[in-house]
Amino acid sequence: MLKVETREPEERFFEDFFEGQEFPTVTKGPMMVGDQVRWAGACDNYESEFHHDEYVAKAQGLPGIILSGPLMASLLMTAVIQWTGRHGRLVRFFDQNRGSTMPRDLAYLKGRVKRAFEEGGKTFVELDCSITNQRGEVTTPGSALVELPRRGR
Amino acid sequence: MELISDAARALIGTRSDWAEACHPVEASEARRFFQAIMDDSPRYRSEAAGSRYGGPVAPPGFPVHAFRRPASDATDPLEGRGDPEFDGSSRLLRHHLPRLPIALEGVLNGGYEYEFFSYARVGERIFSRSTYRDLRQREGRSGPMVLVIIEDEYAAGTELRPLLRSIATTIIR
Repeated sequence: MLKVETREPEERFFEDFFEGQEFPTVTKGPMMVGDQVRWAGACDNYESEFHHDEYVAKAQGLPGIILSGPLMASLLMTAVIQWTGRHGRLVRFFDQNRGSTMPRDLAYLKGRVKRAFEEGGKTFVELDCSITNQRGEVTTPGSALVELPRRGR
Repeated sequence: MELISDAARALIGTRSDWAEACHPVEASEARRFFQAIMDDSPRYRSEAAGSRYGGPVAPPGFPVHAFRRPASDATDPLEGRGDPEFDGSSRLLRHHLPRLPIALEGVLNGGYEYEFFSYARVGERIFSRSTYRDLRQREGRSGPMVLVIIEDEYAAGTELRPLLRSIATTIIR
């Protein structure tokens, strides 16, 4: 697996964001069954056999083992938190499991500022985010709203 | 073919009572969670970094996955896997909601919409209540499916400090 840098997010403020701003793509993977097993252990949830047994997955009409949608959503949410910095407060997050992530797939986590605005005396950044695989398929479209302080306040 | 029976439709709007996770947030389970989502931000493990939140906290999505099998529950959920007697006619989608009578076997996660209010701190008790919001039948590539929309509210402590609200879409197919 590629080394993924994870640390307390950088210090960023509302003024650091602008409409159309692209965040650096975060690459996860190749995702492996081990990632799914670790997620199942973290959630104490082992009941969906198709997440770890290829025979069962194919018998259920799936192309093979698929990684859990909430795991992929959590990876995307982590990227949003990292992109928007340590002072950001995640207000809303939305994701849709449109396609499957399978073992040995890469996951490219992408984000772009849709809107930066002030409302009710608070400042927010709204962004579109997604996971795309190595075939260019968007498996997990999403969006997020983050409250950010102004610099110096 | 109509898959949403009157009995299933009658459950729309049903809201559970508050239910408590089987134990308060443990540092080790928060660790397993942030390692699984590949986020080792110090706020999840360091008193100093978490001081802004009153101590180390669990990742924002953690409460959704905090309702585990209690130690007192002798029913092994893995028993009966592949049970030929299972007719796929009734699903327990939340432990504190009534079973949903939909006669399809497969279950997939369709996605989430989260609204966040605060972090759950290590040592805090977590509570949840759930509501069947809607049932929608759709025609998918592999046949008919039913989308089950469930709203979940999560809160911490006996004062029920809001943690997050989730709208989850579950696909039964």
